[in-house]
Amino acid sequence: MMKSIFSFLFLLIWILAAGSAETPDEPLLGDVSDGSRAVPVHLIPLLDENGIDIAPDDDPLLPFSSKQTCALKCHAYDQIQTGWHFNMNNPAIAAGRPGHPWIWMDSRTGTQIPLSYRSWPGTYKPEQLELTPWEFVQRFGRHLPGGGVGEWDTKANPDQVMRIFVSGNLEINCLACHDADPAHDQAQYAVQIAKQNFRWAAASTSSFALVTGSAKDMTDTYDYQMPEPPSDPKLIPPAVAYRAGTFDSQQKVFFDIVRKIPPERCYYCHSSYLVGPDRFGKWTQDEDIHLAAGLTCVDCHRNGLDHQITRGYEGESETSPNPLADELTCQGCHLGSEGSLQPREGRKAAPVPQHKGLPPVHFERLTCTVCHSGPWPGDTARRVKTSLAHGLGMLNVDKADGAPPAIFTPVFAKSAQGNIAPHNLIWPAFWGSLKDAAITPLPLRLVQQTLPAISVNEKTAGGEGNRPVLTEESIKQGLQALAALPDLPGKPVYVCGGRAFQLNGEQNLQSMDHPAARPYLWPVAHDVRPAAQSLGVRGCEDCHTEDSPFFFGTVAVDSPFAAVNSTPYTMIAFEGLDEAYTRVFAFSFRFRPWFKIVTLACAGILILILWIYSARGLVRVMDWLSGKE
Amino acid sequence: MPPSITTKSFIPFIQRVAGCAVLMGFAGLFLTAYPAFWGEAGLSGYRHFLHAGMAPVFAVCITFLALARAPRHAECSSGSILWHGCFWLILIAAVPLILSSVLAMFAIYGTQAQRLLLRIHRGSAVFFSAFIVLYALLPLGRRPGESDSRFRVE
Repeated sequence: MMKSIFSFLFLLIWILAAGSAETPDEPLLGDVSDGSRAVPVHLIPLLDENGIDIAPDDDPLLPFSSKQTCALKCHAYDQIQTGWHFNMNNPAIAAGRPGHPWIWMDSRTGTQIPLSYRSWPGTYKPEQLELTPWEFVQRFGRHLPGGGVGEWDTKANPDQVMRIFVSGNLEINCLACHDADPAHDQAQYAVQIAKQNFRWAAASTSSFALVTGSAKDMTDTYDYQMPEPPSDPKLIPPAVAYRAGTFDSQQKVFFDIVRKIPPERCYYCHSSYLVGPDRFGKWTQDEDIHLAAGLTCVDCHRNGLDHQITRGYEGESETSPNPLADELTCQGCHLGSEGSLQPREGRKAAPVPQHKGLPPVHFERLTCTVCHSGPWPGDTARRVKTSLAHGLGMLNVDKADGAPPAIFTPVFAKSAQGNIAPHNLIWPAFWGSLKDAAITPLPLRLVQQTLPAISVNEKTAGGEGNRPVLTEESIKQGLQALAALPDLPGKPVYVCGGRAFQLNGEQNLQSMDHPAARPYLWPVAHDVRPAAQSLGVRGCEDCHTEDSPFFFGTVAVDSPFAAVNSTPYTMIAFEGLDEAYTRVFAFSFRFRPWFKIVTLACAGILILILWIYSARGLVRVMDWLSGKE
Repeated sequence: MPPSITTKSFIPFIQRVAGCAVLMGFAGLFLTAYPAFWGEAGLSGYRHFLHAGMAPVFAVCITFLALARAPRHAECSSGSILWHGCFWLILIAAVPLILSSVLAMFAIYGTQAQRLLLRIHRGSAVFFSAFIVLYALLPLGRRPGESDSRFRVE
């Protein structure tokens, strides 16, 4: 009882202290540059989450807080947390171009649904599925850099108030990006998230801290500052130990902090890996040409103190406050910007392309990435695994090529800007309710509770990965079970493979087209291929043939319901083009050599005629001048 | 060649056919290109397809007429000077008109040059159109009783 009162009082003081904190008017020590390009040495004291120095002989030894250690005196946390990596739950931030969603998978119910706190069309907000921030972080915190939803709002997590005190906040982990120590282990972050060791997560990634135990196993009254052994001796309380020699004689610790973040740090969350029978491993796949040329991710994706990092797409400057958003794009570096007072092209030795023989209409209809980014398109869009969707880089991740979710790339599709761009694609699958012609997904918790006996078979691992398989009968069972719920807002439907299924009057499955069933696509820009491997380098026929992958490649349908997977989509269905015209136009390229020969011959003859008669006219003039005529 | 059709009668027939083809081709090219004339972007869709499809036929007909009529127009033996002048101006405008479209198809010119070629194509098309309309209309403006042979090229 006393422990609970103490915990409550401490929490109250903590909240009041946090509430009274004001944004400093004066810039902090590390936020004002003197202009030196040298890297400042970060030999600093470790501070715990209350801003108190940590000494190696403390008992209990507390994890350092990245928020306090980095931001108490040196960097303005309030500004940093407005950055793109941390502001996803801030409704005031413009969503920008659709990006990689968080994909909530539940194999037992055949659910695969794209989520995002940002208002990207085709994604759903976690709260729409009654997923609290606490649950969201539990599921996806493995690849979050901390901050944002991880800094708990108790109103949004009413059931977790005590757990928040036990586990702590998931503060921004500065080390996730800025730690150049080769022993930095971001995979530890995911381990600590799974154990609800949010307070310990950042420290666990550093090379000098070892975190053990699990806050998840502790009771609601567990006090990390005065830990008592749990009643069950098998349960281990969360704790941290610092490697010997971490602290110097002044109790300071060296952090290998860099501004120029190594690509490997970015790769933890932003890796992608093409899979398929013709792929033989990561070692066979090249990196982005910019990295091969010696650049790093942050040469293009830059930010200031506010961490409003440039995403790098054309048009980003319309919504981004980053002053370089207009320049750090493909066109900005390679072509410059029209009307600029000084040359902008060629930045970082970017070659200025000539695009010889390429009609300018291509620049209006296509993004640069169509020809230059992603894998060379094949007859069918490839499967790709990504860090965010497949947990690449984590311990014990499913390494099977076919591990769900199935993401296809490149899918050439019309973007929100109206031009065609390469995209990644995922087919949503979820149980929802149909009301007033709109389908809204049902909370997964409700679906799980309602469909206890649904027969979902899971294919075994070993190439295919574990993936759910629903039959017509099991979908019927599911829809019937949901229809029996007393307060379902509409008619139950199951969405998968681009179709929505409902029960008709005879209790048979009825399929329909519906916008909610359409795939979610997000543009991709990496990996950029060398210019010599760009589409069109071999001529117009790279795209303008009757079977070119760009127009007529196929995109497979992947869903738990095998019946809808048999008919793939043609790429042109996503491009917003007239298929008949495109085929005829492609066919016309067979005659293009003749067109060139005939018209060049005509031009040649006309030039000859003009030349001959000009010469004759000149002769006449000469005759006249010489008095012959 | 059948005995009833002599070279003397066949050539004018072909000339007339080519002349009609030029006028029809011109109308077709003009109609397909006109809507896109003012925009920065080039033609697209079926209009582009028709435009590009008619263009080589049109170029062949223009070339044929040039070959057939150049001697007569060089002599300026009959007809107005303006009419003969139009003929030569048509040929002069046709060269950049044709070359600007066909050279853009080779991997020779970069983006800026491609845009310049498009502007040249449009500019020469304006002059070409003006001259060809003038060339076609001038014979209609002859004085009553004046012989048709004034504008006949054989």
